[in-house]
Amino acid sequence: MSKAVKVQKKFGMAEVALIFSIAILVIVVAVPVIMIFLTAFFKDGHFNLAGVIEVLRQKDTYLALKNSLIIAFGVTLFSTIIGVFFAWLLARTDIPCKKALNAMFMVPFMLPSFICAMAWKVLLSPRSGYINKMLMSMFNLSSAPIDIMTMGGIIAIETMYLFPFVFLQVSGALERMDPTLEESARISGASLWTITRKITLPLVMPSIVAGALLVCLYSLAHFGVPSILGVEKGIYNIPTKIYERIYASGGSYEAIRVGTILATILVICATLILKLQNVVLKKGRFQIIAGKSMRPVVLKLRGLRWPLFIICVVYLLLTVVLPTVTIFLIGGLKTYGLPFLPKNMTFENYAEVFQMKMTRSAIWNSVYLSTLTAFVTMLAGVMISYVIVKMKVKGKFILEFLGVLPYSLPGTVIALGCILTWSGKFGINLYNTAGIIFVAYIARYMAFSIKSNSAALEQVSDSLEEASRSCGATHWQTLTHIVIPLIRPGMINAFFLIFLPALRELTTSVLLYGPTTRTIGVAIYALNEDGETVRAAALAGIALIIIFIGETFIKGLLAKLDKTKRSA
Amino acid sequence: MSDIIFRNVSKAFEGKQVLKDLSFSIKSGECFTILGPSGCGKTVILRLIAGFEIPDSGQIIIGDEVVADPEKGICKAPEERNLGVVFQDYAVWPHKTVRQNVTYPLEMHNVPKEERLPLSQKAIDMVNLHGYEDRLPNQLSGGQQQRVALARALVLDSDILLLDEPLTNLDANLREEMRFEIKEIQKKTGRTILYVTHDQEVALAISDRIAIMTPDSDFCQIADPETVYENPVSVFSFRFLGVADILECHCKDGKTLLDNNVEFIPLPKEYMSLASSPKFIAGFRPMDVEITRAGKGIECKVERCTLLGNIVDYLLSIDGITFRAEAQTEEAVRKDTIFNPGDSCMAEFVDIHWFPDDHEYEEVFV
Repeated sequence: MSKAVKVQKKFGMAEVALIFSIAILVIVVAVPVIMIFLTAFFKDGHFNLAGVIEVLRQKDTYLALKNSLIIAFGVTLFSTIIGVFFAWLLARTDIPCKKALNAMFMVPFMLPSFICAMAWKVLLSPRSGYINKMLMSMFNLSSAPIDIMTMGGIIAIETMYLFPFVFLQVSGALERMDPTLEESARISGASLWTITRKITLPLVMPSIVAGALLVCLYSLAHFGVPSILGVEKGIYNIPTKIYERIYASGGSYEAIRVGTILATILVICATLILKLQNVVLKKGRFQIIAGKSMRPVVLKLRGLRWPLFIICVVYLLLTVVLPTVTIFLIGGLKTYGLPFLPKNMTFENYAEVFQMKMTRSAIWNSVYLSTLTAFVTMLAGVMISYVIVKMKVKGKFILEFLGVLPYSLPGTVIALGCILTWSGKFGINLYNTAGIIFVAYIARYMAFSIKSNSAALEQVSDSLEEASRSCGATHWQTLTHIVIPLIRPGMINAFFLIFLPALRELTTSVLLYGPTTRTIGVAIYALNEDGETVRAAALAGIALIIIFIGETFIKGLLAKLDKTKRSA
Repeated sequence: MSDIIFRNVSKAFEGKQVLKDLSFSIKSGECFTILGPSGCGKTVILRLIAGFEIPDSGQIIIGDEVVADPEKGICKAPEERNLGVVFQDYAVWPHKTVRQNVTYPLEMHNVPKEERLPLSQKAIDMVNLHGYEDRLPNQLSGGQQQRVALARALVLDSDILLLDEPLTNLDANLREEMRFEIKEIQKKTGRTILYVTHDQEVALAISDRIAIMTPDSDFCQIADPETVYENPVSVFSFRFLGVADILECHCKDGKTLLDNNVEFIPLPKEYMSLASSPKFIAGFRPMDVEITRAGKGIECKVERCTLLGNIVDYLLSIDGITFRAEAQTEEAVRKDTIFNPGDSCMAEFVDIHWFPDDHEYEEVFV
């Protein structure tokens, strides 16, 4: 036994990790946010409320706010209805082909909504939409029957691709719910309908609310769909308004200042939404959802079995297959507007994606930026969540606060904050470089990483680490031998939770890209804006293939890891 | 030499004082059990020895070395204390096989590679897990995982073994088997064992000395199992060590009276000092009540009489004050003392412990 007595360090590993974690979050998250507030409320060093009020009284900013709220409300409402309905249908009825349907309902999640918005614009725009033209010639109509380029259209398209947030949360809760809760109600004489209303629904309510609010947050700050379907018709929401202001003025400080005021409104809305979520979730935090999966009561649909199945299939065909096929077909057209006939088709556009310097560098930029972001954010997330979950240090509440802060920060806000912070004000100028997109992505996705890693770490009981220490392993050896192997699935999950959305990111990148740092999302958007619909579609098609490969790869890898993962 | 000594150790968690000025020592080579109700702070003692917690004040000495003394800024890291620890939840690493789990301490202590296999095999054999070396923990039962944890704690030749309720999660048969195995291992290896539990049976079975911990985290008695069982120092330790009858008494005109003023057994001379207190307590085990149809003792009414296999369980009352009694079935049949409710009988109290009034820990037993 060593005789050497170690003097207790006042400044141990815990404190170093804490300070390092706080530093990362302050630099990447807190400073940009503070910069936004400072820019919005201070002018030449003076508090300037009049300027804020002036901006808010302008008609177009006021309208943009109104539109943002209407779109967010509509999308949340419809996503909740659709998400809960399909989740219940797949989890609690005897609908055929459950497994296949479950997998298919995940697909809208991977489709980038702005690419689908492009497809729907091609199909349903009032003047040149293929479906509109077809309907007009079929029924001899003088005007287009469906106009997608309206508020209703934007709400519909966003709903199609955001409802999985609700679907996922609710079907997860329904699957994990202890069926004895329902069985005992049944034994007490309640009918299945009563049980659904009185037992099942209240129990999954927290999940419904959680999913709905995610949709609301996302939609409130969503750039892609409104910019493709709305801007042409003068329908702006806050993110598109910010973009328009900044680009119309060539990035002037005044425009950025207006942007920060609008961004502040977004942050306030988001904070209110999260507050609401906390209130609702706190009220309904039941511990009845068991971890083990059991067989629930299944409602026999009888005569409705096949009709409901057909509804599911038609829904999926319309929202998944139709837009995807459209994108690939448009990408193969010689010129936009030609009918889809074999003689009009070509592979030229797809080949061109890899030949054109702009698209090629966009793909490269997106791939390496999202890989790098995912990797760095994952590692930082492991450290930060380790401090939050496992370490006993004073001051970790700062981390907990800063860690969830990015959740309520819309992508547009993060982008603006990064412009203000990283344009030389603090001695570092990343403007127009890939670096600024990189730090913005880290800020945007840090919350995902912390959430996924914290969940994994909470599964690792403290005694597993203490056992290792008592076996003679140092803290560091314990981390590498015991903790990291056990949370590896959570880390990989975090990696892909970041990598896949970052690959198709548009909202943030569109405000940050420079001449040589376009991402895939930006390139598709720019090509589409320039009227190069065919090339935009070809690039979108390639992007879909990349995303699909990434998504199936993650599934395979995670399934494999799940087999080797044991309960800790 | 590996005595463990606590000197005036205090520890608080989030403002709640758990240990206050605690001093005691564990002798080298003995099996020392801390027995106490859940939440009394007994695990904290173990964690302080292991180094997972740092005391707020006081000194902890292992062998001839001070391992924790906050005043002097001394705190040896857990990995440098060279102890074996078995956790209540096993803490067997789920991503390592049985062999890898058991070999890990050897790797961490840089035991030469060629010695690792025989050493780990020895530990695995000691806990009867031969043939399970390549299994992963999720392929083992709870008892087997428990034994992996034990083997892992035993594989190094550390002098001290800390066991935190290692048997609570096992079924009754396995628990019985394992407690003999632990005792056996201690005899074989001569290690110092600190065993923390709330199960008085295990404590009595394996300990050289038992420390009984009260809910306010103080030791009320430290002694060998016989002494603790036969001569409990307080109502608390008496009740904690098994089923107990507690009757409240007081003295009047030299007679011992129960609460309902019925006369009870007179106070023995050596306990006369209790007579002056307004209330004192007579405690006895149900087994120590001798029941007859008509004989010596106090007349009781039978409230309930239940045959439980080899024993008969009685609920008797002395004018409304109830207590439990037990008799061997064979003997009860011979003495014709299997009653119907409402019958009357005579009860003789063979072995009564007299205690001062002590209501402090009532809630622990409710």
